[in-house]
Amino acid sequence: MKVNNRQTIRLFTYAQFAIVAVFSIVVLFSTIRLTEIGKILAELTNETVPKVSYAATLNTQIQNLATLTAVLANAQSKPARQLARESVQKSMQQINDTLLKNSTDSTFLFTRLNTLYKEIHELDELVLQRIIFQKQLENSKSRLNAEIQQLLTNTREINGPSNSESMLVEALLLSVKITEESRLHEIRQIEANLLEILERLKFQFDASEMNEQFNTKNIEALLFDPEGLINQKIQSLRIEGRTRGRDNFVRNLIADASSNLQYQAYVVNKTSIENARKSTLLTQQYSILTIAAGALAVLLALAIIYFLHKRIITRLMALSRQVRKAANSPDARITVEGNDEISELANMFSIYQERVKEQESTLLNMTLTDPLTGIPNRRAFESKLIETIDLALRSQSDVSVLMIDIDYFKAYNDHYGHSAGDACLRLVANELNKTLSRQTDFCGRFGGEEFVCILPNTDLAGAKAVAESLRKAIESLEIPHEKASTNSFVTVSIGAATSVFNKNTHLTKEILVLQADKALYRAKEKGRNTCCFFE
Amino acid sequence: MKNLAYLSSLLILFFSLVSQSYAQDVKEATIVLSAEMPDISSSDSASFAELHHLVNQNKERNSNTFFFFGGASIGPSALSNLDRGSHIIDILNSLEPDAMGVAKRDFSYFEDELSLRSYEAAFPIVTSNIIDTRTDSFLDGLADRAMITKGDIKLGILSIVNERLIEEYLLKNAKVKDPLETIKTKAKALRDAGADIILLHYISPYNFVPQLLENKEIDLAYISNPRLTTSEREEISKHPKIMSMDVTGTAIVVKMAVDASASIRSIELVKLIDISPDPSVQAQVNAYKFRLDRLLDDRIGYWDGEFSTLREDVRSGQNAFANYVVDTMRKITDADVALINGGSIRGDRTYRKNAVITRRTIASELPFRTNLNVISIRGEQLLDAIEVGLAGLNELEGTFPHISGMSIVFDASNEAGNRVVSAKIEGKDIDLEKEYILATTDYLYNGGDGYKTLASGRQIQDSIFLDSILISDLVQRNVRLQGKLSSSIDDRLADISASTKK
Repeated sequence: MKVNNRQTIRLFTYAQFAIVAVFSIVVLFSTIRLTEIGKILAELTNETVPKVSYAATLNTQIQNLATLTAVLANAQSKPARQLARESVQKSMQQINDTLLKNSTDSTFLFTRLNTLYKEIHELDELVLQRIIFQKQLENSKSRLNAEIQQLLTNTREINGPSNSESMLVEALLLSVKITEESRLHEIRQIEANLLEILERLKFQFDASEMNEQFNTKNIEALLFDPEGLINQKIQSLRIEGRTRGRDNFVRNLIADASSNLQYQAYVVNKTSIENARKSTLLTQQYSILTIAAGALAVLLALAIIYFLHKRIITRLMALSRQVRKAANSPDARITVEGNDEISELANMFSIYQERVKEQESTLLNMTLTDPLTGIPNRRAFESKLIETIDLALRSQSDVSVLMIDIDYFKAYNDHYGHSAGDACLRLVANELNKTLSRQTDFCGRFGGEEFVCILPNTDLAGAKAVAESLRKAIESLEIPHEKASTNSFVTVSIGAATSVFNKNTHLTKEILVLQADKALYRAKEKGRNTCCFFE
Repeated sequence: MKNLAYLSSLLILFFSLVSQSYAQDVKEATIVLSAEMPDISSSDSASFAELHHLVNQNKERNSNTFFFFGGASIGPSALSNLDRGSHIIDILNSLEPDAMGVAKRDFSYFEDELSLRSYEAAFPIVTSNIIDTRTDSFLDGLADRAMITKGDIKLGILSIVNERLIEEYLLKNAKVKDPLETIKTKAKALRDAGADIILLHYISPYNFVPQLLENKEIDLAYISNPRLTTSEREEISKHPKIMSMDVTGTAIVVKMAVDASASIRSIELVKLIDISPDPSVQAQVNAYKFRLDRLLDDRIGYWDGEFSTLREDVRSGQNAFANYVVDTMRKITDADVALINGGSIRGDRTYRKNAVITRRTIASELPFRTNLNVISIRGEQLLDAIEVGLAGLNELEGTFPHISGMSIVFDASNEAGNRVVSAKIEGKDIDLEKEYILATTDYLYNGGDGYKTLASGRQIQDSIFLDSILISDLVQRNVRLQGKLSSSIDDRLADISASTKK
């Protein structure tokens, strides 16, 4: 993973913010949508449903009014009319109440209903008029009948003019017929007939000179006066027709109002269905959108988490692994790709590791090196000797150990001082080290003015040669030594011991060193500046 | 001039003397004829008060005065749109016609409403050749003939309608019997019952009428149709016993001898406007006018432009008002297409810009109680319907199709039935197989004006809610909502023959 941005931590913070933001947006979005849907639903329940039910209620009431109006129109007596009228008024009151409760409705219906009420009122007046006329008609008919019958009685009693009786009977019959007729022209025809009959009667009565008892004036008046039977009948027919017409009309008006209401309900219904459909659609859309937004947010969050995982966690884990490894094996390297805080941290670890390694080796050097001469010290010698013996055991080879001691070094020290002694030691050590030609050979300071060499894979002969070359090398340094009794220069005595290491060898490093030391002792005894071998 | 006047007055004196001496021997009947007064607010045609005065004058002069009213008044009109003609019957009850004949228009609100009117009427309403198919008898309340007796004169009355009535007014429960046969049978029945004079009332000219008169099967014929062609009128005027009411707002006063000859003694054509109105009837008419005002005069909007609903305009081509009506129909029903026929629009007038629209305006323009109907119909049938509509173009028959949601290019010079050049719905050529939603009137859906192919459509469920709404109410409502009526001519209907002529 390439990481070129140096701001992973900040990025991590941003990413967290991004996730929070994405979820907030989704929640906000869903809330807004839900509110909208809620609004539509509220409108549906608070406005549309009452509107539709209002239209239905009103429609029922108006239909009821139609029935009641028909009852009113057909009322045959004043009490019946009164009852019908009261129910109509009650119904109208109900409709008004319903309308008032829904003041939102257009004035259109109000106007129509007002007109309707006026029409019903006029219908009521007509019904009353019709009933009154019918009553009057009945009265007139009775009076006319009574009058004609009186005349008939008179005629019979007094023996009136001939034919008058039959004419009176005819008149009586015709007047009855009038009340039963429903066609104006028939009534007019009867009227003409009656006029003719009465004319003849009058003539006869006049001729009989019995004007006192027989006179047709009353009958004529009862029949032909403007308030007479005929005109009353005609008026009655007209009013009856008008009442029917008005009744039909009122019912048409009601039907129209009702159909308008139905239409209104239809429109409301249609709108509400449309709204419901829209809201369903919106709900679907919103659900899809919300789900999509949610899914997107989850994906985004996952992507961010993956990204963070890749960029931070994985790398941190790698770093931790490397650091753990580096702690155990000094050679392991700490590298984390990239150019950010984590890679920087890795680099720091790396640098730290390097430094620790350096310090470690310095420390190690410091423990195995003789600080004065710069060559390995006795501890290094011992570990080298163990190593060499181990190796020799495996290869069944020889190991030779040389013990070297500077002759009369105490005298040198005393004579030349400690610092000259130190310099002498350094020169000797340096020369010894230089003279050992093989890489595998080892030379260390054994302590004081004693040095020790380990020559792996070297037999006695080899050891003799090396020892001799070392002795000569020191001698040829020609370090002046006035206090030496055998020579005027610094010299060394060398004791060597060689051992073959195999399975049967029970030698230890201590014995080998002891053997070499013994040999050195002998060399000292032999007069110094010489090499002795343990044999 | 003076001489001429003198001579003429002498002549009149002579004739009147002769006729009077003649009258002493032979009874004379006066028959007053009039018809067609549907709109009480129109002073040209509806002159009930004047007519009443005229009738009374004649009755005073001659007690043997008969008054026959030729109908054609129950509808359509703005008030009749509301009361289905009750007010006309009420007024006629005051006029006391001896009988009323029936014309097509009296069926504006269908046969049952006419039956109801006959129960309101205190006079017989005569229609001789219509049978109620439900009862196989005459329409309830109506008379197939009438015998009116005045003194000792009996007047027999027959009234005949044309077979086209059923088709034009979509009567579902009525059938029209053969006119000639009906007349012959019923005239004979009347004669047998002692009719002195037999009057035949009819609307469409029949060429057998002169023969009937010659044969004395009938004695007088009265054709009340102001829309006859000149040639038809000429043909009719050839016979002295055929009375023709050529102009509305007139009455004919016929005096005839009541004898075997049944000869005409005088014919007087009276312009009712010249007669002073009878005050009581005038009061009654005024009361109705007042009522109509009360019912219809609330202002609902104004005309947003110049509009014409003249007969020739709505029956011959695209019309802005008609466009408004169909657009409204389509809008409210969400239909693909809306269609009405030109004959639905009856205002026959023009409107100035910004003139007020009241309910009455719309009710007068759309006086028929036609309801909205929404059907689903195949493209092919729809196209056929348009062809039917365009077929009546030249004769101004009122079939002209006013459309919305569709654009039609037609060629009026092509023969009828083959006039549509192209038809597009929503910019695409009409798909003959596809079902379209069509908003129209129940009149057209039921095959009115020859639109029979629409009957193949299937009524849409929605329509059940709407089928009680009148087109006029729909338009009123829309105007009220918008506060104005704006519409225009566009390219929905184009006659390419007209453009080539230019």
